[in-house]
Amino acid sequence: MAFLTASELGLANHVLHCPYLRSMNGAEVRRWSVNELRPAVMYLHQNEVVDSFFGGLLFEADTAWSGEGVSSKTLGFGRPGSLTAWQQALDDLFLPGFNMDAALQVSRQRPFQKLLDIWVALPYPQPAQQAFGLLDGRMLNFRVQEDRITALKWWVDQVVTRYYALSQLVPGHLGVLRGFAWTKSSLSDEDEALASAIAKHVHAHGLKLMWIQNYVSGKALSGYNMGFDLILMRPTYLGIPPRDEKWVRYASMLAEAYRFGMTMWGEERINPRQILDLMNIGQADFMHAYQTYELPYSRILDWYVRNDPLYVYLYAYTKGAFAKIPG
Amino acid sequence: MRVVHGPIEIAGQMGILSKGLQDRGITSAAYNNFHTYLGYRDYIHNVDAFEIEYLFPDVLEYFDAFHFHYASTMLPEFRDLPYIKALGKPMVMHHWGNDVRTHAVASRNNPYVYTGDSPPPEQVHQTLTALSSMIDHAIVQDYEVYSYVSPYYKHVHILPIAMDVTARAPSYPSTLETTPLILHAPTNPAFKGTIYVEAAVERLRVEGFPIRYRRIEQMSNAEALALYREADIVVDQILCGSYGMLAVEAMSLGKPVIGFIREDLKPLYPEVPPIVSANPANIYEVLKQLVTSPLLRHQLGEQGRRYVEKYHHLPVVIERLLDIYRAAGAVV
Repeated sequence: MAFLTASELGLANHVLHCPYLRSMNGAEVRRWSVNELRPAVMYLHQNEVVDSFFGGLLFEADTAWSGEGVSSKTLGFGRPGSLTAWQQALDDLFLPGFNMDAALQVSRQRPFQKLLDIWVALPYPQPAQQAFGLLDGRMLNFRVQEDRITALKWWVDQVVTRYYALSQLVPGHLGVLRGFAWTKSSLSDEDEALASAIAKHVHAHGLKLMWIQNYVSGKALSGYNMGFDLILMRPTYLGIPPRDEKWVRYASMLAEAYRFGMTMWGEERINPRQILDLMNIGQADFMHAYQTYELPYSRILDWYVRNDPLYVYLYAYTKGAFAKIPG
Repeated sequence: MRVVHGPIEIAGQMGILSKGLQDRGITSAAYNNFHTYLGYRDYIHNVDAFEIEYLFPDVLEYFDAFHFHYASTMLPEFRDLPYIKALGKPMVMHHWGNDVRTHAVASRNNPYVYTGDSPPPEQVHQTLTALSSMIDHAIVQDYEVYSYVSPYYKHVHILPIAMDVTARAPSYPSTLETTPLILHAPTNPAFKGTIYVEAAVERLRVEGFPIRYRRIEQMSNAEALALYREADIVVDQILCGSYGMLAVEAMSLGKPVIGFIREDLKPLYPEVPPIVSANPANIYEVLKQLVTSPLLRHQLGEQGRRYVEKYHHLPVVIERLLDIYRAAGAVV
């Protein structure tokens, strides 16, 4: 029994989730600039680089400019994503000066030549989407499983091609494209087959496939057999009863039993202490497991600029040096 | 307006209501975490309970009105309700029967009702008390369910089961059929009275009546509907005292339906439904009458189709639903 660790996978631990494009409600525009990524990729003090901070970034497009959903989290929020929406997500991912480009640029400032892992979330091909768009002269219909596979393979190939093209334009960067993330937690039978097909395709590129799921969602226990290389457990803890410390510990026990990593969910709209609670529990429990962090857009910059102690706490946590904060 | 439905799909109703709202230009999403062999997938997002919890902060922000189903909400212990209420967003709770049916109330006017799959009465009371402390408006499908929830909520609205009737062409039973096919589709045999139905069928068979019988189980709703089309007689539920989804589906297909309609409830429907009422005591006689009367089967099929067009057709139900939303404070 052991948590999934970064070292066994040859990866950098502590991956910051970077949602981009529009927020779910469409109101917020999310583009990660060098300025926003710098205090996350490096630990700063008075604008000086003190240390590296997060070991990786995971980019995920939520809602496209068109209002169509790209991420699985947008199920039910507006229309399902068409090819146009996916193309907008790709274009914005590689927008000069932002997101991927900003990540590679800022990675050059990492002390001790520490590599910065790059992950990209897969869009979710919603099964209700019947007219996705023309790919290779054919209109894809996501009621047809093969078309969902075709679309996702196209996405993977586009990201890989564009990443290596961009990589040439940013000399000396320390970014390493590690792979893709499947962020739909529960899997239908069709999703399961789709994930397996995409895992093979991702592996053919020499990359890894990560799955972020909630509290042992259905099929999580067979996730490695499906082809996922990393499985992460989000304890689904909003910081309010009936979920409590015991709940998170149960989640981590399961993660440990099944060799999962953990996802730290720092949603602030329900309880601002959510991320602190998770760090408090994690420091005695799963602090050294492979972990990803879901925090509100640009929150790391906010904390840094406001001298919020959470900035220091989080840095300490990622270094395994966090001590429980009472309160 | 943006409406969210969840988290339990019963008889395909979340999806169909969501579709009806979308047809009216309203943004509507339905999340379902209750997955059965019925395999509902149209106009709903099949997720799990944890995904709904995960989505809750965004759902809270994005949607303007909350339509809950089957005495369940988005977070455990109804912890989501204070957040929704604090934002002044309208909420309605749609009860479907087995989530609130207690034997004490159900058996007042019905010696046959089976409540073995309902929660214990104390739990029902606790749930309804908690829900109605936060939600003022409940929806039920008929006056059978009304009686369980009316002591709790400030307002209880009747909303008939919805069906996109025009999407389904009727297939009236042939008056020339000499070996009628009797169809019964019990999702829960104890609740539907299947044992009595099958005893009556067996008796008819033994007595030499030319009949065919098919029990539909463990089949997706889409597959089952294709089979209903072949039926000459459909037996719905003969214990509960009111009719359910199977009756509405069968009537939409122009099939004669047998089911138990309580005498005290008949005047409370907008029009007495053209369902041949039968209970365990007389199911044999009622079945025999229909088995031997092809013309009656055909006539009842036509009446049933007209009835669902008038009261269960989706646009008709959606108009009523929008009135309920308005009563709950939504700006529609």
